[in-house]
Amino acid sequence: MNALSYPFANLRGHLARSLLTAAGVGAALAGMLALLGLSRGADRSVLLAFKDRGTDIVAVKKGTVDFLTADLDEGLTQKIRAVPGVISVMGSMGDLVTMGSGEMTYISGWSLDSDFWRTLPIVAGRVPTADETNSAVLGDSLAEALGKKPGDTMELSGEIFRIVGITRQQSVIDDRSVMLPMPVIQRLLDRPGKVSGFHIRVEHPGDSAEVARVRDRIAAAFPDLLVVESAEMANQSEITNLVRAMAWASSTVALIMTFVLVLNTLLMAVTERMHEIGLLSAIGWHPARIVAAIVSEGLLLSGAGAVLGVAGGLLGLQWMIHNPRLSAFLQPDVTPTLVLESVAMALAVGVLGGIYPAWRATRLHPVELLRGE
Amino acid sequence: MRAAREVSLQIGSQEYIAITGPSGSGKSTLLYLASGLDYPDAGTAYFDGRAPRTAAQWARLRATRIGFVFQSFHLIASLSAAENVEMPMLGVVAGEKTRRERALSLLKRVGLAERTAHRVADLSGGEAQRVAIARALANGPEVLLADEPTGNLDSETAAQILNLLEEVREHEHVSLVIVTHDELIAARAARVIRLRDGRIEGEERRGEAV
Repeated sequence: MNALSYPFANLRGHLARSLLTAAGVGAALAGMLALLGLSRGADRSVLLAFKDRGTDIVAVKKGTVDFLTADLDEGLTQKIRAVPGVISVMGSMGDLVTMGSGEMTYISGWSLDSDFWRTLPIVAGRVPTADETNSAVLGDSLAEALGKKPGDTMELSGEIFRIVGITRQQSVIDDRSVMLPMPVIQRLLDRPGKVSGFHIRVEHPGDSAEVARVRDRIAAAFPDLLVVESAEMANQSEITNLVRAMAWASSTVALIMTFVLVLNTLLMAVTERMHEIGLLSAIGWHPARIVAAIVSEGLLLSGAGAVLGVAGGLLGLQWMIHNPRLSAFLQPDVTPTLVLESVAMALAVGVLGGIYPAWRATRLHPVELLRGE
Repeated sequence: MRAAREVSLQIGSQEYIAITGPSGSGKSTLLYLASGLDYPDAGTAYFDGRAPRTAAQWARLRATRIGFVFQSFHLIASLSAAENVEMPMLGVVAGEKTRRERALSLLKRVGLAERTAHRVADLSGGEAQRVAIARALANGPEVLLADEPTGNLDSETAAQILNLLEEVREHEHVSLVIVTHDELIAARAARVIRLRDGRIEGEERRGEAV
């Protein structure tokens, strides 16, 4: 018998109640892990999308909530290119459209003469040519989910497109999207001569001070643009900020639920065992040891919940990754650090949930507990 | 309401004392005061010439030098007989193996060698009280306080438990204080304290116990 045997025996004595509490903690933790993982995944996808394209600086319309639908004059491409330190500028356009199956997909458009098409990692087929009207390149994951290969056709916003190539990219956004030549997407979205933003490469990308100077030069020259380094773009997007805020808000609610759950269970357990706690005092248990035993019950409950939560959360995310409807937009980023942080938070909440019942148990005089008063 | 007043009682080493009196006379309260489970509104309880001042100091004394046996056994239902005996040793006796060996030895000593792994619910009243006695001896106390230890037992089992307590007192060299309202049990003690309305009504010394 060791220090945990008694708390463990108490939980085992009310197995159904303990399991239900642990399951509740697990469900809260699984939700927290999934939400935080998805939030981080959204940030990571944005960063990888820029990394795939070698983008150092991004310029979008200032004061816009949704960067995708903001319209900027395509003619700004050459003007930004003229800023000292800039070596290339790619205008891009993106939006969500309906495929023939009724599912949504992300489409992006790029000038045919830009670096984008020259550096696109094609795994099958080729990139579109200027003389083609409705040609498209599919991300590898989307092509796999749709069962498409070069030469097949697909429907986008009511128009039929011929798939000419398949690309494989790190960013889930790109890997699950359709890439189109700029004139094609401008016509499809009825936004002629417009782009959503600019991907800018600088002469010395390794020199962070130089990158910052170029960024400041562009910002000064184009006051209507929000100009940020690509690494900070995830923080500038209202959408990713909203996703992050919702993830944290939901996680906080989940943690509070966990706290109330553990508190309720232990309060019930302690109230039922007042005699027993009086006995512990009678046989010489120090009040601190009694507190430790009750808090340990909270720790064991939240620990069991953490195991269930991590397993459930990871399984749920795996299901999400393999569900084509969801994985088109959601790609979780669950690192061991995130798992450890979530488990630590659950354990901390378990300990906190045990403190009040423990205090209640030890504030009464042992003889009152033994007499059942 | 005062359960005990103007009471002065000294328990000597290896003494056999019975505290007797009608219900509500303050017998159990006196036992609780003597062990620090209850505090006097006025006056002081001493142990070995010192007056413990805090709950923690009394807890330490109860853990190491005072053993308790209750009328209703107060065993922990979720634990086995051996685990119940090990409970007072946590934080006092180092090493799981040592604690387990000592618990098994004590259960053997009270005649329960075959029942060590049984849950409390599977034990008879006599067996449960034997486990409680083994638990009270866990850390080698100097004083054994028994509050109506045979109150919930039939006469035959009660006699066995009483014999066991007396045997333990003799072999373990502990002081034994039994609270009882049963005159026959009280008559077995070397010293009988009679309480009424919270006061000591009388005291009898009979030399060595029967």
